[in-house]
Amino acid sequence: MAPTEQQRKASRTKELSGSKKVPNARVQRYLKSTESKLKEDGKNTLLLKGIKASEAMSRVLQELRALQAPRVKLLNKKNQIVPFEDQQSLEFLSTKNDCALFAVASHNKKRPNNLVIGRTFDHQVLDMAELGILRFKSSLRDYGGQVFKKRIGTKPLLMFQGDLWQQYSTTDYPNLQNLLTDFYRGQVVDKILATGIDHIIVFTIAPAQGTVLIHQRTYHIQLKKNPKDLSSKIPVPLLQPCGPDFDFVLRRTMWADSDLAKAARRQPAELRKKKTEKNKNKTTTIFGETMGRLHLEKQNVEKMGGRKNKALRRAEKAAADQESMAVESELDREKEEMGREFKREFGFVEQD
Amino acid sequence: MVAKKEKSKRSKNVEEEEVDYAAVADQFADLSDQDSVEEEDDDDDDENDESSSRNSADSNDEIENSGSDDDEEDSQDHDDSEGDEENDDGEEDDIVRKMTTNSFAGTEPCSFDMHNLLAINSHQMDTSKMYIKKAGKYNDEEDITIPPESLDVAVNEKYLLEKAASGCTQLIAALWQLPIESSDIGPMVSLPIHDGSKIPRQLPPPPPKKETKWEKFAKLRGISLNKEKRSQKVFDEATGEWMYRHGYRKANDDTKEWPIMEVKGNDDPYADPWEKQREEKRSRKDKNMESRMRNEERAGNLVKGTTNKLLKNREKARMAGKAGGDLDRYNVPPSGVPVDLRPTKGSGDIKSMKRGKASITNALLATQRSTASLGNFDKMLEGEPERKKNHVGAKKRKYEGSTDKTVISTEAERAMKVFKHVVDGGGAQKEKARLKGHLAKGETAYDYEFNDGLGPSTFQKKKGRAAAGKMKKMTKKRIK
Repeated sequence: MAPTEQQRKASRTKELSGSKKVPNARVQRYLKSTESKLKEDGKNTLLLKGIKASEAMSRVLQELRALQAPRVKLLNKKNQIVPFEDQQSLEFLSTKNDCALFAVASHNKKRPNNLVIGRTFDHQVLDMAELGILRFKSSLRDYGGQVFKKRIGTKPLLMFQGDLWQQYSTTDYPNLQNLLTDFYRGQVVDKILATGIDHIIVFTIAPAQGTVLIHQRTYHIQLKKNPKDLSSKIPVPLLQPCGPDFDFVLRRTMWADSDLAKAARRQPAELRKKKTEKNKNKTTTIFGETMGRLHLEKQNVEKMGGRKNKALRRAEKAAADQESMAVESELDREKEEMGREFKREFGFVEQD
Repeated sequence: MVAKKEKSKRSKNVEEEEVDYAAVADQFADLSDQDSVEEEDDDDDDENDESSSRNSADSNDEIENSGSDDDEEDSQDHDDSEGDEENDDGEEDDIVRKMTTNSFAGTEPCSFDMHNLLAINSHQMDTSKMYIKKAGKYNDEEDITIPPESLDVAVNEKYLLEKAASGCTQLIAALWQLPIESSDIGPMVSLPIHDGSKIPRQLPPPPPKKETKWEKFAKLRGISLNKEKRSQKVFDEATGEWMYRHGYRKANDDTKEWPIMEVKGNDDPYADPWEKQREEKRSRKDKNMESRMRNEERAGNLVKGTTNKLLKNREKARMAGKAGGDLDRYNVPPSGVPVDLRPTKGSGDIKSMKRGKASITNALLATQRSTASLGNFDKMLEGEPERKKNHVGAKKRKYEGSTDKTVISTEAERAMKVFKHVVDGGGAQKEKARLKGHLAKGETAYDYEFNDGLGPSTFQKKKGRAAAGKMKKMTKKRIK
């Protein structure tokens, strides 16, 4: 049972004050796994029944559990939950069971064979989509015993066919594509065993009988050598339908508003896609030296100030001395000249 | 982000080939199981092959691989056959040729998000091929879990399978283009780290750890925090071995209770040094607890104000404890006591003549305990709030019939035990408890075993010579 925020704080208070014993290592490890992580694993799924669930819908949930095992929890009791009206109960259950994805199955006259799939962010419902199942062929019961089944815990290949998945402005289908990808993609991994791929889930969307139908088909994959190009190492898959097969129609939806949607997709700085450096200024010579190129504006050298050192100061001083000497000598000369003129004019020497 | 994709123009080299899947499946059937790829080892040849095909087909991936520097190309969406217009035509033809040799890939190229192993075929579905109008009811499908009663059209499963096969082939080809490492389980493909579909997280990323008050101060003053400097073990002189620095049985432990403690300097010779030591340790513990709690509160891990609340409550409890059990005796009148024996308003610190909440809850506890069903089926008054389950863990006494085997074998023993307890009393343990005041619980009036100040009775019935008792011969039997 994952604790809620309130419970976490309360138990932390007790631990610090010494009134509660710190739990053993196994419990601590589990509690740590329910906290937020830098890089997230796959999400767990919670499968519930709504107010009234038919036997067929129970089978649908069992099928989903088989598809998503072991990261899935199937609850047996019926719940008084109407997802589109009140999300509080759903949020509580998903928090307690530590499941970010959920599916609520119900059946009534107005909405027969109803499956509401959705996901949470930060213990609150983020997106929900209501699917009306028009046809369901179960892999567990309806396909004969000869059929290959996928192994538990394998990651599926996904495929979306049809142009309606890309219609962003007018329809909900792009959002539904994102939700379905999230729902079925399984564990998030860095590396995958190339030969371990054993099934593909295909979602096809097409307009039919007045509405838009979505067909989900699951095929078992066997990787075979390419019979037309035996030299190639790339295998070619042999597909065999193994179920489960759904034909559904999209009923109501509830998408997160753009702020919340953006916040939910925000990754921590460490994981964000790094902009690759565009090194326009760097070049490498044939000798292996990396050269950089600086681009400067035109400099007005005359108006720039430079560093002064002893030699420059001496030179300045000498220049200043020279100048002053020159000025002095000029002044003396002028004085002499003026004296001569005076003498010429007045006949005697000027006396100060 | 999945980019919008316009309808692709067919390159000249592509032949319009209808994939006959049944025939293809037959071809596969001819190959023996030994030829399937799972059992092949990944040799070096494979890697060389991958690298050559990887360079040309790099534009397949929407997301850049963790090594490639094809910046400009990766910012746009590319499919297999079209390639980048900036590429040479020769390269483009090369890619297309590779696709056509793999005829199972079909004619509609897909875009990929390899982080999620996702292929997107954004071509329009041909509804004329996809759906078959049902004449009447779809007979052979009646037996499935949810039969298609409300559907007017039936889906052409073969067509869907063909399309799926082509997409799957492309996806697997794209998967094989990614960097492969061979491991002991088999060839491991490294998936791109970046998520092309931008799937939201389940929880917001963890906030960066907030600094404690000391860390802040140390940073400001440039004091080093000693976190990496200190070693876990320290040499202990007393035992001559390396012991842990902190915790149980730590090295160089001064806090042990020595039987003799010196009186140093200004200390009062009549003070209790062990009491002093315990007081100091208690105060250090409390201080540490308080500062830890305040740091966590500042960081947001605790509700604001819990530290102050907790400290206040602790103070209160300590004060109450110091005053002794007397407060309880007068403030909470015992439940079983008749009204007229209760302390009156004049005497003691009592606020009203009413029983009060505490007294009522005690009485309820006592009556529940006395009931066979432990209070589970008690009638509730109108308007009474739900009761907490008070005696959840309490074990009820089992019925022990007199003819039961186990009872017969253990009965004598148990009776003797009880008898001994009565005759010998509780022993030293009970005396201690009584002196401490533990037994003066006061739930009901009959729970009092308090220290009345009297010692063991010194009353003698027989006096004089008779008090010594009769002289009896000490036989061997009697000695034993």
